[in-house]
Amino acid sequence: MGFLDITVGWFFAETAQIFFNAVAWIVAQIGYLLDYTVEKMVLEMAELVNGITAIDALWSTFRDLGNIVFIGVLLYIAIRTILNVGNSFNTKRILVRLVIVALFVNFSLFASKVVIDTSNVVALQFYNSIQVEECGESACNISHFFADVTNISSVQSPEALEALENEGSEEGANFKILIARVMGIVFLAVVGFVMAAMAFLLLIRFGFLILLMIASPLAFIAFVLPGTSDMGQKWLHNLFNQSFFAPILFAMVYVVAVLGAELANGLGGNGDLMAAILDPDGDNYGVILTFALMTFLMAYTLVVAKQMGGWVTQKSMQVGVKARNWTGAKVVGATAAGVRATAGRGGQKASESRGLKDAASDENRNAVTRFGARAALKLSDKAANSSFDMRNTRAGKAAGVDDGKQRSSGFRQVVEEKAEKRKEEKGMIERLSPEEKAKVERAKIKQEQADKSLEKAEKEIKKLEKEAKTRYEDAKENAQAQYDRVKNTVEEAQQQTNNELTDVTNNLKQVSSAIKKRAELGDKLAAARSSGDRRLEERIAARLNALTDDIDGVSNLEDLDTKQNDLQDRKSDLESRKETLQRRRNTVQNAYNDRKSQARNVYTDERDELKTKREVAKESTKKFKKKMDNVINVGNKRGEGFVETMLEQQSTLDKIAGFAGYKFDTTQSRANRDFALENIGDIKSKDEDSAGRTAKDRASSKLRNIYNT
Amino acid sequence: MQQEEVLQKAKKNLPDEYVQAVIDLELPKRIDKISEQYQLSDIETDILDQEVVYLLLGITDSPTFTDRFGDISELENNVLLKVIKSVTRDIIIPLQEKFQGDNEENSTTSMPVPPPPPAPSAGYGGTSDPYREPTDDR
Repeated sequence: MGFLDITVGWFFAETAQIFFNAVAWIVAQIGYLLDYTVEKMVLEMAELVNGITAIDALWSTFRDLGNIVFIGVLLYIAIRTILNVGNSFNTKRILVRLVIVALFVNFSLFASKVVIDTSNVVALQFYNSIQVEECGESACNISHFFADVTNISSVQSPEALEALENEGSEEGANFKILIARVMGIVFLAVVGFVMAAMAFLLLIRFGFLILLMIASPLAFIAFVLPGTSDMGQKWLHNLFNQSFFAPILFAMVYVVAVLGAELANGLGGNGDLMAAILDPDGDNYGVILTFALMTFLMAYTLVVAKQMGGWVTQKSMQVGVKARNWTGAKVVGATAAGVRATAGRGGQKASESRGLKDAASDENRNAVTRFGARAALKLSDKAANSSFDMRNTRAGKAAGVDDGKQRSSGFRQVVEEKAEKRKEEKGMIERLSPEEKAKVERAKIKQEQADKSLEKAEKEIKKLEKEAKTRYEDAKENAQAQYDRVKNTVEEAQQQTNNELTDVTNNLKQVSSAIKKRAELGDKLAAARSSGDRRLEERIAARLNALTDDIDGVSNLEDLDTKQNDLQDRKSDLESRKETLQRRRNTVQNAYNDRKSQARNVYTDERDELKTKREVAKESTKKFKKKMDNVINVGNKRGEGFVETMLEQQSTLDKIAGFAGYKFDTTQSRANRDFALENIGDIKSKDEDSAGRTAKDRASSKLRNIYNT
Repeated sequence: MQQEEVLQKAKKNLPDEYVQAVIDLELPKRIDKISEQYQLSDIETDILDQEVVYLLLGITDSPTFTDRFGDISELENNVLLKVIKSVTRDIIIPLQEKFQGDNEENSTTSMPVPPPPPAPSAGYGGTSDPYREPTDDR
């Protein structure tokens, strides 16, 4: 019965082993697939896409198709306008959008690539952060990270199997191995499923993004055509959703990695998974729990990444709409200014054209010429008076470019305003004495000098900033070089210690086993002696003598105990050395981090100081120029003698400020100053309060008391 | 925020030594003296009082003071110029002398010396006073 049990147990255990190996092989292939997907379809996506010439070719085809659609839409708009069909406001709105999209459709592929590349670069940053430190001979990839964080490799543990075999009962061992294999298959399948899901989603992302790139011209067109803007929105939504899935996924994985290390330590989950399955006592539950928790978290990252991708898309699109409105308003405003300066100027000239006026009023010319000249004058007059600012129109408002800052005056009005201002300024300057005019000129030269000086100061500051950065980079490099040197030395020592420790542990096992067998054989020898079986006695004695054959430095059985003690001492020494080296390594790492952070702090301080200097120089120049402007303007307004008086007065006030160590105009916030200036304008008001005091009385009373409170 | 609060806040932001120097000047008396000298009306005197306070508190600079006082008081430009000159001569220069004297006197004591204002750059004619006339024709 016992034999049958052992045979059946052995059969199931071996069968489970075969399945286990098959599942492990599949999971390994999934790991390779995931690594390949991440590497080629996320990290090196730009190179891969650039290599696929079909994308450009297909995109060009769709773009050309789009251009044909534009012509069709233009014709549609033209016919609607000619026949005066439908709402003219909608027609104008479509026309504005058509022009904008016709321009930008040529950049649709570039725009899509910018979004995708940005997401991939962000993904790369997180990917680099989640690398594991050691992966054997192969390069470290995300599958190594998976294996590391879930500890799945320990589901096949030779040490646990050996311990089980040494335990005794073959029947019980087979059963436990069977359980371990079945559980191992389940664990492997779970990890494999998560990795496969990740690889699949990234693969889908890649394919989807390529299709979105190719379809980008059509998506742009969809924004223009009535009733298809939803499709355009859908395209944009998918572009953002798919692009930002990868960085968010890696970011979540990074979070799990950082969290997982702490959790594993807390739960005691760093042991063998197989040993935990074979011997699920209280201490080993931590290993299984850690595995389960980490696998759940890894799977959950996929769900969160998909959800957050949608959120990022929504927010990005909202920001995009705001940016479009702002940029549109500025572009339209600038265009209007440009058209005012060109078409408006042309209109002004044409409306003042003697030839046109003569042609319009000359009775000797034929009716058609007179009509043409009158029409041209009317049109040019309109051009001269028009602001050309689309933000004033309903179409401009419809296109979302109305920022409330549009001009209503045309070129003619602008010219008249400028002429009036020049006339006024000229009149004022003529009221100054020659000496004051010279002073004003000098003040203007000083303003220019202040600008040049600021420019020089900025150059100097830039140079200093560059030097500070170079110093920072050098310090970082030095720290890195020193760290690498020491780290290598420590790592070599660690490697050496580990090797020696492995040897000593193996020797110790051998000696311990020999000691155990010596006791067993000793008992058997005594039994043989007592039974008088000489042959058995000789055989056992020979086996006893052979026990020391493979053990170095032991010639007889009595030396085994001494050897065991020596090896144990050596093992303790090596373990202690191992800990010391680890501490040393941590110290080196901390020292390196400190040096880097110190260098960074020094650099940040230097940079901030220079930034402050730059701001002070700018502010100082700006204030100086403003004061000079005030002096010139008020001097011009008031006439002879004022410029000199104000210069002298301000100079004295600044000297006082210099003695006191402050600046007048920095003592007040702009809001306070404006408030104060607004409130003193009513001093001449005759309105009386209940006590019969005027605003003037109240203000005067407050002002007179200001230094007494 | 009330006007008085703004003025008090402005005053608080000024160094104590400076405020003391202004108090010691007995500003109302000086204003009244200028008023008598140029036969300013009560309302013109009040306006001058107000504008000088704003000037000394740093709320306005010299051109703004000149312009605002001129606009609100509606004085003739020739009278206005004389009043502005008097404000410089009878209020601001004595304040400078007083403050400078106090400053020099205290420089030997343990009073903390406030940091100097940002020095004007070399482009300001190579002097520490941006309003000083250049000595050569640059």
